[in-house]
Amino acid sequence: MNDRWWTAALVYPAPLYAGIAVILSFGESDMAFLAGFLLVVAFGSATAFGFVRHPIWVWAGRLAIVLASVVPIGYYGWASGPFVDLTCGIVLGLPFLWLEYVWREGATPGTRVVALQATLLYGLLDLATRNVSVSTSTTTGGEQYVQGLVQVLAHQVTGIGSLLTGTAPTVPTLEATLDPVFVALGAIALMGVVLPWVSPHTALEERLPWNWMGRGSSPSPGLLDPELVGLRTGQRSALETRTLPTPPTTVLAPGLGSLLVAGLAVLAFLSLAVLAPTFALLTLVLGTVAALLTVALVLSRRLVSHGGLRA
Amino acid sequence: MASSRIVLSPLGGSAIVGGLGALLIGLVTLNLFLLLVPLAVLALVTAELLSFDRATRGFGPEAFRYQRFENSSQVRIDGVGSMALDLEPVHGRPVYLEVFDPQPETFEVVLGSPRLVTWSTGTDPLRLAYVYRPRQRGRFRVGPTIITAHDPLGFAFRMTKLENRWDVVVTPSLSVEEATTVPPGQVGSAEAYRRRVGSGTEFRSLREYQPADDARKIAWRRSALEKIYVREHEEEAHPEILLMLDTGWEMRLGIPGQEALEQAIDGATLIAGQAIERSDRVALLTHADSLVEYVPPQRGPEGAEQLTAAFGRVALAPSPFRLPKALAAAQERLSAPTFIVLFSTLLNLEGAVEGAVTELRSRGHRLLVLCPEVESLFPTPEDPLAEETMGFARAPVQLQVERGIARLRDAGAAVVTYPAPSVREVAGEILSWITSGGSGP
Repeated sequence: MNDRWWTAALVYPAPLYAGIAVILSFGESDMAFLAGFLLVVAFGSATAFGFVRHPIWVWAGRLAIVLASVVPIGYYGWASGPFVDLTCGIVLGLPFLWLEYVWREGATPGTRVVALQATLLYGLLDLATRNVSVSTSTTTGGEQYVQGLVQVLAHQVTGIGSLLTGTAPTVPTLEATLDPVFVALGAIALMGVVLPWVSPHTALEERLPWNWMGRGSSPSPGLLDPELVGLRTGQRSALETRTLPTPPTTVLAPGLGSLLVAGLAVLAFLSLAVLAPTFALLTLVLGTVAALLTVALVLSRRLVSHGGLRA
Repeated sequence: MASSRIVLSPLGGSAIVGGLGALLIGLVTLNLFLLLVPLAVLALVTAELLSFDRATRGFGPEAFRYQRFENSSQVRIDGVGSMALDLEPVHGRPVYLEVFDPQPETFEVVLGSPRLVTWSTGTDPLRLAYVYRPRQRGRFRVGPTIITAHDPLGFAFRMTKLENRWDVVVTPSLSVEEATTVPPGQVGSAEAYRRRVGSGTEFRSLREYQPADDARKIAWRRSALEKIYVREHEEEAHPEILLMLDTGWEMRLGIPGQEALEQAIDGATLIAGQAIERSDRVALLTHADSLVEYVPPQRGPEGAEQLTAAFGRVALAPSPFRLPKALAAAQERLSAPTFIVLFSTLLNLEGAVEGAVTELRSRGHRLLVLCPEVESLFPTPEDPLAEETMGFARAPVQLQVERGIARLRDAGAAVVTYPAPSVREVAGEILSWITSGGSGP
């Protein structure tokens, strides 16, 4: 199992949990709602794991799914029936359309992080809809879910707006949403994104020698018959004693230290958020600015001049 | 002056942008958990960059003691060369290092590698060594060695270079069997073959006068009334050969790697090798608009080595070839009657060519010009239209060459045109002609 599969295995549970939680809340017995969700999950998984590869099929499928979720809502208003439930199920499963970008080969780290964050945001929205009270007398489970989703979004926008204007502050819905299971699964998904970075590689994503990758024993250099290549004794000796790619022997894993520092930063922020929630956000923003300034400083510093040395 | 600064890789830049994007999403939700994701990413990137900065502080050429050793400076085109570099870090900090020794594209690495990616303890020495096979004659440069320190997460790197360039001359293959040479002071078969009694200038012995002898050769001081002696002189069985190479810019005609100059060197090498095997003396003169190099007449394996090295050094000059000047330069340096074999495209033949050739002939030298057929220097296109276009482009060049050939022939020089791929066969025939006394091709 390679890095991609590990990441997929670690990332999948979080959105799956959120989707299942919504289905259990709204449409346990609503088969069309469930079918819509499973349809998107199946298609997203098929493209993510390479069962559907041709770009035409991939993009045609994505377009069809998006249209199936947007057109009925946008053009025909809200109606009842199995077709609408199917559409609602599709809306619920939308994160699986972009989930593959979290582990996809060739996706940049930035794409992976944003794809994960968008998935977690959608999961959070799903979970928030469970706490919204909607009319249950005339609507199906799917419709309840979409109505709840719209309410959550509206409440969130109102809350953010009131915070920005400072008038009659109301707590935004998403700020108050906290599902311990989802948080745990989200943390695992984050590990799935970050941990592959710790496997040493160059900027061109070429693997660097690492003990954990089974490169501990370097093969001895092969040498042709000296008569064949006409080398002098000194040249042969230089070749025989040349250095081969050697993994680190005194360091457990290069980059692990930075990972620990990042973990400590997260713990510190969590502690601050619990002890002094008023300052947590401000600290985060200031910390981000400080980090960016530090990066800029490191990148701009001219340390050692090139060239002009003895040979 | 460039500096060794940390370069943020696309991976690192993307991670920062991704972290900021995630932060934006987190700020829209104000959810604690969604704020932790960008925090973790940005903290990781920042910590890694700071850690890499610390590990590579002082990274630069001064951070290494280095030495090239066991490096070939002259390689035969059918042989192999070796490069080795010892590198001792003095910065003392462990880091991933990539050492790369750039070599010309015409070098094919057959053993070892010019690139090493390894973990460096910061103190242990590293050794880069590899063997290459050259695919083209000429002077080439290896290095400077580039060292890159890699951040283990691929977010950044830092590069420096060592001023340790190394020049390698790739020579054509010109070998002379030791068995064909004659030990000094000993007259062997080869020497006997080379020298015979004739009309040369070097005194050999006295013999009794015979009625058919030239009266001017009578040694009057040694003769008496009862016996008259005549002087015998040695005649070189083969005159000396001067290989003259046009290295002007016109010799760049042809496809890369097989230009007219390379074809000429191929032919000249063959003549030199075979002539030296026959114990003849071969000189080399390269000329563009002025004299580039002159190698005096050489014999035996040592002479072959000198000529080999000189052939390796031949390079195109950024100036046109001046035949009259080249012939004058040759004339200044030649003492005995010599066969001058000139390899040239005869493009841009300017100046008093006729006078120079006449002057040369009056001194007893003979000029033979080998000129490649222009169309044979280029591959024939399969497409008729492309062939027609190429023919159209070649026409003025061919006309110029034909004019040059006519001028030289009128001046009394022998000019041989040859299809470029057959240069070795033609060169062999030319040598046979020279050794047979030069009764005109």
